[in-house]
Amino acid sequence: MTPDELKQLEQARLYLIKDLQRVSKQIRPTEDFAKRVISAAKLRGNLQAGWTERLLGHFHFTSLVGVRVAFAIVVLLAFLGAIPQYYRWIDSFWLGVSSNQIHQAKIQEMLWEKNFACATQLDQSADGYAAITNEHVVVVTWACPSGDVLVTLESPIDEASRRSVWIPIRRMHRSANLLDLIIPSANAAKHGSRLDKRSAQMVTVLCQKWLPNRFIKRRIKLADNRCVEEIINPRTGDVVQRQKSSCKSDC
Amino acid sequence: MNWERLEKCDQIVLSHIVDGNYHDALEAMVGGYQHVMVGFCTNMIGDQTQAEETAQEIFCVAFQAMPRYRQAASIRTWLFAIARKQCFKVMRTQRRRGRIERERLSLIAERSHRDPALAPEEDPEIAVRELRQALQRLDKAERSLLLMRYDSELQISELAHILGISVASVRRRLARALDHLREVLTDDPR
Repeated sequence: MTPDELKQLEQARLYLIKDLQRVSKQIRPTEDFAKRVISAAKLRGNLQAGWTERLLGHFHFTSLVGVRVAFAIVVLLAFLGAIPQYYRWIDSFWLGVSSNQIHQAKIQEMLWEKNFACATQLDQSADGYAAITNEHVVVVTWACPSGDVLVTLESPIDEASRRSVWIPIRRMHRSANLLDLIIPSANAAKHGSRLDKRSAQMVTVLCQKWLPNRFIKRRIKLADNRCVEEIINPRTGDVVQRQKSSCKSDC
Repeated sequence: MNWERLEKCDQIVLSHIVDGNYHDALEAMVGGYQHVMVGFCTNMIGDQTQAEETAQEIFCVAFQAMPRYRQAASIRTWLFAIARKQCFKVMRTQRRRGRIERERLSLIAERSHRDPALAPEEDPEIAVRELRQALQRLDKAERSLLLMRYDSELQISELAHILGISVASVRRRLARALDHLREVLTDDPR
């Protein structure tokens, strides 16, 4: 609409406009209105300055553009410099581990993938199987053809407490004896003949498979022929769920 | 509206804000704009008591926003932008129908007791009251636009800044609002 068109319309509605110009004429605030406003504003106290103003103080109203530019650059650099940390936080959230465990969690998951078929064949009677125990812990090792070893730590008194960790072959080169990685030789010397290679609880894996949420479901047969089904977090090695199951070999 | 006086007030307020003297800026602002704000709020909301509370809130919000005032608009424009938002906020929670009905009934009663020698259109008080009631029946956006333009005498460019639209759009909306107001006034309230 052009200015002239509006002007013409306003001429046609002049009586309305004249009345509109009078609608507030007789409206007056109460006598103490100004005092009330100033008291209320003072009571509100802190001025809600924006964060830049709080940081820069009085610079906000100066023409120190250079200060603002320098401040913006510093903030931007700090933000960009923290990007790797953001990725760590995101990984930490998705993997379900703390940020300092991300690297190990990814390695563990990779080793589970690499040796999945081998882990499914875990069997007490097979050559790669070894177990060692003391009164506090049972250690089961399962060596795969790749050279990676699955080490499972179990508690003799708490059947549900188990943790599995893969040790990749690279690390084995640093130690002639696999068991040194698990049980310090000092501890072995301390317990002496009390260490014996008994069968551990986890004796045979009947089947296992990957779940959509990247956890592993496995069914195992214990020494007493009971079967249990477990859900394992491959990134931490923890058994997150455990229940009795049939001894069928199809997961 | 004495805009020369208010322009001086704007300059004083602005210089206090620039110096960081926000309390002095507030006092100057309230001194200059209290009539304008209370009048605007009364015509927007329809109730003077609530209008005063709203006007008080407008000044408090302006006081808290002073550190962020960027001088992109004049003090007057900035204040009216705050006023418009606050009035809308109040009106969203207000029950208007009962109050409008009461005003309609009081207007009818007043007419029945009026001097018969005086025609309605010749009684300026009745005309203004009818206009106020008609304004209450308008959409709040149109109401605020008409009040800011014709009662508070803001420029079209200032209205464009407050509403965040083009000057041409402001003209179109003003034209539509004037037409709607005329339609409402010519409707028989009974």
